[in-house]
Amino acid sequence: MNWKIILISVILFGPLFWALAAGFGNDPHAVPFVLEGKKAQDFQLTSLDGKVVRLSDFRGKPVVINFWSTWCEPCKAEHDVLQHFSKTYGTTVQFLGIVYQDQAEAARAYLKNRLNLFPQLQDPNTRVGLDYGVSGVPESFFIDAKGRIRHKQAGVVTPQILVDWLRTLLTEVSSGEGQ
Amino acid sequence: MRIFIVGITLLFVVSSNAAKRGEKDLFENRVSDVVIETPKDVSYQVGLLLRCPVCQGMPIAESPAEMAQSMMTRIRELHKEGKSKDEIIEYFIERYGEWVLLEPKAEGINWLVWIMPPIFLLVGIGALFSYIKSNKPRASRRLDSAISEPDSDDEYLQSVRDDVLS
Repeated sequence: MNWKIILISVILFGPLFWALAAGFGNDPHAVPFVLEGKKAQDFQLTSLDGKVVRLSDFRGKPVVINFWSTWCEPCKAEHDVLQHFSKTYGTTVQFLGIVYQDQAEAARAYLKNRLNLFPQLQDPNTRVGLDYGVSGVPESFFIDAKGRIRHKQAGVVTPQILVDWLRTLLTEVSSGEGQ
Repeated sequence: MRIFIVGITLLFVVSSNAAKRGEKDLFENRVSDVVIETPKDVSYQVGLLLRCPVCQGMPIAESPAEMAQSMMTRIRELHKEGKSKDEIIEYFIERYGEWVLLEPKAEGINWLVWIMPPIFLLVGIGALFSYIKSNKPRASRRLDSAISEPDSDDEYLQSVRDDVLS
């Protein structure tokens, strides 16, 4: 009798405990990255200085897209890191900033007295942000030379992450894999 | 002096009217930006199914967050483009995964979420009936024996039993 109860309990509660145990390891607020390996959607946006920029213009070299805003403190923290890497890898990697849910004037004022080496784009109605599954800032996307999204960095992008991913993407370019 | 007072009064009246006009313009601009949706609107129905990424378990249709509003705007755009309800939902799943759905799809491992609650309910009801059935005669027997069986060791209890049974 006792063995029957134990067996029935294991059959009934086993899957439940398994499902719960699997769920406990996940952050319920973390938005999954489902675009890995998929083609980055092309866009045409206007930069803060009025120039029209298309993602497809940079086909053939890795692209780093950084979504940021002036109301986001971590975004300010990573600004100098991105500028430094843009300076270092400027000719081989294209950096793009996309202002996320913020006023163009506020972004211009913020960048006025700061180093700004790459295009900063306006995203009306967060259209591109939604196309890339952005759920908050900062978020950075690493796109290879073939135009595939390889990595999404949710949160501040560190120098180590940039070095690791840019080396990977540039190695693919030099070996011909990324072309 | 009189001219000065009249001048000040006129200035006040003109500036307050201008301010009112400004408020009205601002209000009208805000009203024109607001989209009023009813439960019959497809965009609202879709918005009820999608989770707001920056809220706590709230559908985007009912969230005032800017992110949710942007998603609602995209839903309206896709609907205007002729996309069906399922196609619009698929657009968001392709970008945010099934995480974006407030109600998981009834497929694969998700079936557990749908199947387990009724199974547990049935098992629970069965266990409860079984417990009641097996304990009822025992409990009544215990009561009968407690009243009828004499305890010769305790005179006080015996007198209580006599009083109860009499």
